[in-house]
Amino acid sequence: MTTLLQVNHLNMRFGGVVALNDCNFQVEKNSITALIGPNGAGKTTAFNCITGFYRANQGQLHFFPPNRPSVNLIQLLGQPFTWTDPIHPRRTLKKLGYKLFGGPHRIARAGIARTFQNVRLFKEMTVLENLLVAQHRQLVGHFLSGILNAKNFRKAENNALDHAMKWLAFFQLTTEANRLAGQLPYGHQRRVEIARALCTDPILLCLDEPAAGLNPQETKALSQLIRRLQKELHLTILLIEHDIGLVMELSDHVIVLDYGEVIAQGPPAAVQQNQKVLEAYLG
Amino acid sequence: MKTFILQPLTTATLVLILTTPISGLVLNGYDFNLKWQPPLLLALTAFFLHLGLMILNRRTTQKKSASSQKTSHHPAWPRLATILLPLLGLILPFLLGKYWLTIAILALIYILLGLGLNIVVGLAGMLDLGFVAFYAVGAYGFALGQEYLGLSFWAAIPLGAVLAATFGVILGFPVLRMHGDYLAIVTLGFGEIIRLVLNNWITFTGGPNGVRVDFPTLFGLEFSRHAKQGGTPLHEFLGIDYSSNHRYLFLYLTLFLVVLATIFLITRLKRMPLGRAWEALREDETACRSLGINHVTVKLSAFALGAMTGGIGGVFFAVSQGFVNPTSFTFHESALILAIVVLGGLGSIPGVISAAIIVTVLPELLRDFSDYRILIFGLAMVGMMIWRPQGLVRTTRPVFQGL
Ligand SMILES: Nc1ncnc2c1ncn2[C@@H]1O[C@H](COP(=O)(O)OP(=O)(O)O)[C@@H](O)[C@H]1O
Ligand SMILES: [Mg+2]
Repeated sequence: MTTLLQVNHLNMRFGGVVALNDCNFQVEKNSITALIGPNGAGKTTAFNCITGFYRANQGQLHFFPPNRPSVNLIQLLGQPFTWTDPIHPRRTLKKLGYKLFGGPHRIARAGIARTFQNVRLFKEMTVLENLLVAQHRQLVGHFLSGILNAKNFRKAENNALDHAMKWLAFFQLTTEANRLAGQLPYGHQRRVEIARALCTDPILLCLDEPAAGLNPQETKALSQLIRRLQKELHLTILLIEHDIGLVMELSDHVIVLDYGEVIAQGPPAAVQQNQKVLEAYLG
Repeated sequence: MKTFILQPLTTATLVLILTTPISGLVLNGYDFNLKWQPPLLLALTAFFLHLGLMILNRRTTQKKSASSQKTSHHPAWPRLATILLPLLGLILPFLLGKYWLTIAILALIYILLGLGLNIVVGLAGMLDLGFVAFYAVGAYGFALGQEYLGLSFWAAIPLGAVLAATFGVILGFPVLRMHGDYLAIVTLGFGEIIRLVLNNWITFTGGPNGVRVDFPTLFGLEFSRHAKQGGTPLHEFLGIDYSSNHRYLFLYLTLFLVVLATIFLITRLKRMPLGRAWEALREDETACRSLGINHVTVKLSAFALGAMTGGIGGVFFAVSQGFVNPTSFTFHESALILAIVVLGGLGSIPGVISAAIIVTVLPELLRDFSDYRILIFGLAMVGMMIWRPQGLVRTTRPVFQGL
C-alpha cells in the first residue's frame, strides 16, 4: 500500500471555534476511505482544507500522485510573505507566483476532485455543458481554432463530448444529457455532480455526503457505483458519510472525527467496536 | 399558423389605439391635425416585433422537444434569417434619409455596447454599472489620439479596443473578489471617476468643451464637399453629385461590418470553453474553482472583451458626432446600456439586438411625447419584470445531437 494523501497536524480555527485540532491521517492509494463523525465534527472543514477552499492555520498536506512529483497542497494556495523572504529570492519568486495564480483550482489540477455537501451544479446549463466545463483545461488551448471552428477544435470538442457521455453512461444519465441541470430530480443532480468531478480525470475523488437525501434504492445503486470506481477504474475515494451502514459496507478505512479531533481510525469492524466512537455517537 | 398572424395583429391594433393620441395628434392652436404616419409605423413595428419574437421563441420550444425526442428537426428558417437579416441591414441605409440614417448608426452603436455589456453582465454574471467608462475611453482615446498624435480612424479602432481592454483589466483586477451589490457600486464609481477626470483635466482633455474629431477618410478619399485633409473628395472620384448622406452611409456600413464581426465572435465564444466558463462562473464560482478553472483569467477575459467592444463603440460614437465631451458619458448612459441587456434577456444576442433597436428607435417615433420618455421606459421595465422576467428573447442552450 502506498500513501496518496498525507495529512499532518492539521489545525483550522474560525475565530474562537476550533474546527480541526491536530488532525493526522492518510489516504491509501486505491482505497475507499470514509470520514465520519457527528454533525459539526469538522468533516466538511477537513475537505475544504484538503481541496484548498480554506487555508489551514497549521499543518501539512502532501499529495503523492503516482508517476508524478509530490505536491505540497498548502503551497499551491500561496503562502503569506515573511520577513526572511528577501534572503531567498528564488523561493520568494515562487511564492509570488503562487500568490498570483494559486488557489483551489491548482489543487483540482493536481488531481483532487470534489463534490459538495449541498449540490453545486451550474443550474442554468445543460448536464452535458456541466461536464464540458469540467474539461475546460483540455479545451481552452484551442482559442483561435475555436473562433474559426477549425478541425482540431472540433476534434477536441468531440473528444470532450465522448468523455462526458462515457461518464453519463456510467451513471445512467444518458437520457438527461441535454436537460438543464437545475431541472433534474435531486438524486440525479447528485450523480451529475459526481460525473462532473470525474470529468476532470482526478486521482483522488472526495465526496461530501454523496448519499444525503437519496432514498434506500438510490443509496444502494450509488454505493455500487462507488465500488466500481475503485475496482474497475482504480480511483481513490475519500468520502464523508452519515449512513453508517453504507460506510461499513463500502469503506476499507474509517476515520472518526469528533470536535475536530481524530478519535479513532482503522478498518470498519475495529472502529465499530471502539469505545470512544460509541460514546461520541451515543452520548 | 393562424395564431402567428392573429396575435401580432392584436398587438398592432392595440399599439395603434394607444399611440395615435400620443404620436398622431398635433396641436395647432385650439385645433389639432391628425398625422397617420407615426402611429402606423409604430403599429407595423410592433407587428413585426411580435411576429419575430414568436418565431424566435417557437424555435426554442422546438429545440426542447427535439432534445427529448432525440430527433434532429432543423427548421429551415433560422439559417435563412442569418442570411436575410444581414442583407436587410446592408440594404437598409440606402432606403433611409439622413435623419433616420443617423438614428440607425446610433442603434448600431448601442447594439455594440449592448453586446459588450452582455458579456460581462449576461454571460459572466458580474453586475457592471460603469460600462460607460469603456465607451468614454474608446471615444476619448480616438479624439485625443487624433489631436495629439494624429491617429487615424482605422488605427483607432484596434487601438481603442486595446486601450479599453486594458482599462477593463485595470478595473477587473481589484474587483475580482467582489460580487453583486459591492461590485455594482465599485464599477459605478469607476465610471464616474473616468467622467470626472475627463471633465476636470482641462489642459489635456479640453474639459467640458470637449474635443473635435475629424471625419475619417477611406483610402485617401474624403467625404466632404471640398478636400480639406489633402485627399480627393469621394463624389469627385466617383463622378457623382455631392451628398451629405455619403459620410453617414460610409459610417453605417463600416459599423455594420464591425457589429457583424462582433456578433460572430460572441456567438462562437458562447460555444467555446471560454464562453462556457463565463456562464459557469455566473452560476457558481466555487464549483468552477473545484473543477480547476482559474476564476481570475476567466473574469478578466470577460471584463477585457466586454470593455473592448465598448471601446470600439466609443470610437464610432466619436466619429458619428464629430465631437466628444463628458456629458455623453454619464451614469444615465450606463443605465441605458444595462437596460438594453436586461430588456433583451441576459445573455441572448438576438435579445440584445432587438432591445437596442427598440431603445433607440422608439424614442424617435415618440418625439412629441419626449417628456414622458423616461416614464414610459420605467413602465416598460416594470412590465417586463412582471411578464417576461427572462427578457424579450429567451436564451437557448446548445443541444448536442446524435450522441
Ligand atoms: N466558514 C466557517 N466559518 C465559521 N465557522 C465554521 C465555518 N465552517 C465551519 N465552521 C464551524 O466548524 C465546525 C465544523 O463544521 P463542519 O466541518 O461543517 O462540520 P461537519 O462535520 O458537519 O461537516 C462547526 O462548528 C462549524 O460551525
Ligand atoms: Mg458537513
